Amino acid sequence: MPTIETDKLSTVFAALADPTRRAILARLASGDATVTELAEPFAMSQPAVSKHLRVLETAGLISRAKVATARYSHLEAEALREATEWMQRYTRFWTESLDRLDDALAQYMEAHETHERQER
Amino acid sequence: MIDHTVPDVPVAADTDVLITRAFAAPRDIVWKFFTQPEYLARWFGPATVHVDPSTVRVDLHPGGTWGLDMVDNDSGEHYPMRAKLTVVIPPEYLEGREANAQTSIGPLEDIVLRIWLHDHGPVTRMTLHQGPFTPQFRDMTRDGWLESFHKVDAVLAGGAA
Repeated sequence: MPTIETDKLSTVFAALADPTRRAILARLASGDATVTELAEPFAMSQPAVSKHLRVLETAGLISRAKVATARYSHLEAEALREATEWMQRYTRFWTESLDRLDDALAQYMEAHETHERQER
Repeated sequence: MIDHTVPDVPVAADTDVLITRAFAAPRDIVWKFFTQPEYLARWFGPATVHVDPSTVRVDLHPGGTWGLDMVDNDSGEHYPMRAKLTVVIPPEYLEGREANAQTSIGPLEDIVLRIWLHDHGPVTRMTLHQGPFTPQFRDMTRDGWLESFHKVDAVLAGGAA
């Protein structure tokens, strides 16, 4: 059975899989914005942007608050950080592997060069 | 038809792993360390594991296996890694994937590993790209990369032993 945390991170990754939603998050990183402001850079209707915002809100990547008559979206950095940390585990796997490859190649090259010198 | 064109290095997406490194060895040597079992066994896996040399299998052609067992240095537990090669262009490009493998907790969607080796004479620059990581794959790997391989292998063990 998936844990609650697993469900949450799956939702986060599903939300991040869309380039428009990633662009919306990038925009929100520089400050809160209304639907109108967010729709502006995209060739997209406000309802379409609202749909993306609902996906991001469900994933916990943004929160939305009403200020006077406008509804502002706010980036929730914590959810994004968790997803990033998960990705970093894969990067760490390869970094450690490639460090070992570096050592193995150095040993190989050293042995190979010694061998060549002895043949001369 | 086999496409012998090496694909371009992708622009990194948020859901992908993209690593570049330079190694102080000529490209044909680095290629050998990725594709010949005795050399692959010398380095694959994180710092806490080693490779069981008897488990390394490389069938260097499209559709061939690229796999090995990593063994935990402390517990001795085996962590199998199995991929199917999809593109092989010696000595510069290697691509493999787990394609829609059926598992006990659902299907594994495509997860592609691509390795480019760029020739700079005595130095080889490597680019490694892995992804995209889908939500389904995230489910499989919530306990980490090694654990995921363990589970995948348990499923594969039922079929091609």
